[in-house]
Amino acid sequence: MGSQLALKSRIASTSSLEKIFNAQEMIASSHIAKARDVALNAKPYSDAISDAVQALVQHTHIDHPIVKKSENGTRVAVLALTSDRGMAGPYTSSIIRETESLLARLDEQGKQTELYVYGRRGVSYYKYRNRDIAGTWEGNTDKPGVEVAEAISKALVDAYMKSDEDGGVSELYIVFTEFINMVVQKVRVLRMLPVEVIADQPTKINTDQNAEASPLYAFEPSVDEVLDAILPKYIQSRIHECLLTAAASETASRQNAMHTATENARSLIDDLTRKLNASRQASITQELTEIIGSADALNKKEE
Amino acid sequence: MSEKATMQVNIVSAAHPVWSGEALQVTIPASGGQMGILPNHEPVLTLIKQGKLAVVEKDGTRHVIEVADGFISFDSNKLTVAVEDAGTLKRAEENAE
Repeated sequence: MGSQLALKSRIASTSSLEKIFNAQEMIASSHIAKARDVALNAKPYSDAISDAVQALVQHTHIDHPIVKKSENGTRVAVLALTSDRGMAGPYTSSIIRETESLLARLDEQGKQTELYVYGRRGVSYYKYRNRDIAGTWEGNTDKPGVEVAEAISKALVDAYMKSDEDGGVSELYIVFTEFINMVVQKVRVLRMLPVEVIADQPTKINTDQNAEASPLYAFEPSVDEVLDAILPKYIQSRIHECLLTAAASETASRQNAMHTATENARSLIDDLTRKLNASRQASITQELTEIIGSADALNKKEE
Repeated sequence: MSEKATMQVNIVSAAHPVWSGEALQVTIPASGGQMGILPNHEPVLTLIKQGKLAVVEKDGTRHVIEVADGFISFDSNKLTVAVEDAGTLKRAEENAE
């Protein structure tokens, strides 16, 4: 009897867990639509900036520190994009693993690393291990707004623009999760700074007139000022793009994890219910045999 | 083809697209002062400061929008306005014509 009660309470607790997992899964899948909207809304702006940078590359000779900086600097910045909340399967842990291996690789090359972390989980991981973190940001990892991207890119560009003697960094890597589809998300390391701008090959229409047409592009107030204004914006929009893909991956990863958890809870409940039925049947059979056995014994005595 | 020439205008802010369509004329608060852009302008890339951006649509309606900190680029009769921050599009009282 005792085991039946125990089974019943286990079934009850598992089924309430299952409800929680199921709800989490549904919340995550509703967030995916939102994340997609945010990403689509931000796309025209980043496209516009990429186009402008593309135009600058084609029509001028860019000689800006953001594009070129001595690569023999000793300090390197690494930005890891983790999540604020758990329950997202291996999302944060794979980012941390990749970050650690990147840091180790850079150490081997004799570079000094500066770590920047976005997301509460990553921050608490490194705080607990007493690692020096150059900068942290928390909040809204599943729907990063422009403000976060602005804050992050400002801090990183500032660190980058400082000279080597003042503790400036010469390279910036971003570790983030790329959203491939709902089931597959891949951790990627991206070298954000210095920017590698690849000029489109002047194909098709432009080939004939391009030689004369290109100098006609006017930059106001001046090329340098335009570069100074646009390149940081370009970095910001690239970082925002990374944040948005990471957010979509986080949500998808959370949905997958919760889906698996729901299924596990259901199969556990099935299993437990079967055990409960078996034990109930066993106890009924035992009671019956006891009654029949004792009745038989009484009848025999009377004869 | 007595219709006036128009250009393709696309206004986007960092968070979301603001407006896009055909326009007869656009006035932008460029860094060096107000700057009017008509269709088939020469290719240009200009920074803009805080101010009001005015768009005259094909039917003569005039829209005004607050913008801050961004740039415009004009190339092959396509005007792209990219700003950090944009208010909502308002219809100006007076008509262009």
